[in-house]
Amino acid sequence: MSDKSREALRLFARVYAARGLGKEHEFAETENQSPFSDWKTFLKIGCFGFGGPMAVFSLLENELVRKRKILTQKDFLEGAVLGDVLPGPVTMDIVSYTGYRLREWKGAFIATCVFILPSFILMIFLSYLYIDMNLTPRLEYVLKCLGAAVTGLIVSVGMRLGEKEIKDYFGVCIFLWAFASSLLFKLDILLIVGMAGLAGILLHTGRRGGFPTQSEGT
Amino acid sequence: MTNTLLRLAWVFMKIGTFSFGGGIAIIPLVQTEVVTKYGWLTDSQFVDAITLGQITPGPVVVSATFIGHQVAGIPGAIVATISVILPSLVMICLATRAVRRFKENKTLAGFFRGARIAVVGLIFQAAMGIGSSSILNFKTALIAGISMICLLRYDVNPIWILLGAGAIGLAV
Repeated sequence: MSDKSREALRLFARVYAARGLGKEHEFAETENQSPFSDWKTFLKIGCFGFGGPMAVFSLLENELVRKRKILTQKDFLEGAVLGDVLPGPVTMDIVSYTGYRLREWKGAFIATCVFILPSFILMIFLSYLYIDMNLTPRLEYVLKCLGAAVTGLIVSVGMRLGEKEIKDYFGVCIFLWAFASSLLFKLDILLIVGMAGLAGILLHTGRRGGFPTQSEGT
Repeated sequence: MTNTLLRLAWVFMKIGTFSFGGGIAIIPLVQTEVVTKYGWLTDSQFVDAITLGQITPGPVVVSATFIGHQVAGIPGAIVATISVILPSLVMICLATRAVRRFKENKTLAGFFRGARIAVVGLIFQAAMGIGSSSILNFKTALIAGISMICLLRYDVNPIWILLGAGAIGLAV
């Protein structure tokens, strides 16, 4: 156990060093040489992922971007974009994406399985309760309190991301438009994200020089 | 038995492949397949399945575990869960690989630049959605406020905040 944790510490030291120099490739390679040690993060978040995709997104962002600095905010938002554009449950998409970024296929597979495991076990347990005792647990108030805390969590992550990402009037417009159209007009997520992307293409590909996307945020 | 398992795998792979948006959006699709077409569950059982899916942490698709368990026991639960996850797992990995390969492409970078901001907007929308269904009285509003201050000011680990909120819910 202590051996493992020491190894993890050494790995993170290396990751930090690589990130400090801004050499993303180097850090990807060091990651690939040791066993996948991040599964505990996903297990932990799998136990607490109440409240939908964005809650899980917030928890993962807090752990991997803010605390451990393995991924950047930009990486994370791109994962959410892919999750929204591709079919399939968005929560799983975000988890698989993060796993893939850490350790390619192996990482994606392990992260997804470990993430779903707590819910899976709890669900089997609940199914037995349901069949044998005809019980549906009444946890409504607990869920409400959790929901309130999750709201605070999501808003705080949203504020941090917004601060970094929204830099000009164009950003403010897209932000307001996405927020309003999903809240008021209940437009499909795919449509919202796709159209914002198209607007991004139109506005940013024509310009010369003003294209900081590759170098920013590292 | 094998037949049922194969059919479960097929149905849930279909659901995992064609559900855009996730969460609540997939419920009608699941209902058509599971209740109307195959008659694995009754309507009220289906509602219970979704409720249970919301009680567990993790996505609502975990309802697949419950449905699989109802149809074919533990093997059914395992088959249904894996089948519902697998398509999106494969798709997201392939897409991530493709995106990283074409990282220098300006059109793609522009797309992401716009789409990332839209996601920030959607994050706030999700907060509004969860907030409006769970912040019902002064106490829950207080929980939301305190958790936000703890996170933004004092950098508390969110898992402690969730545990605390759950404990308050149990105690009251």
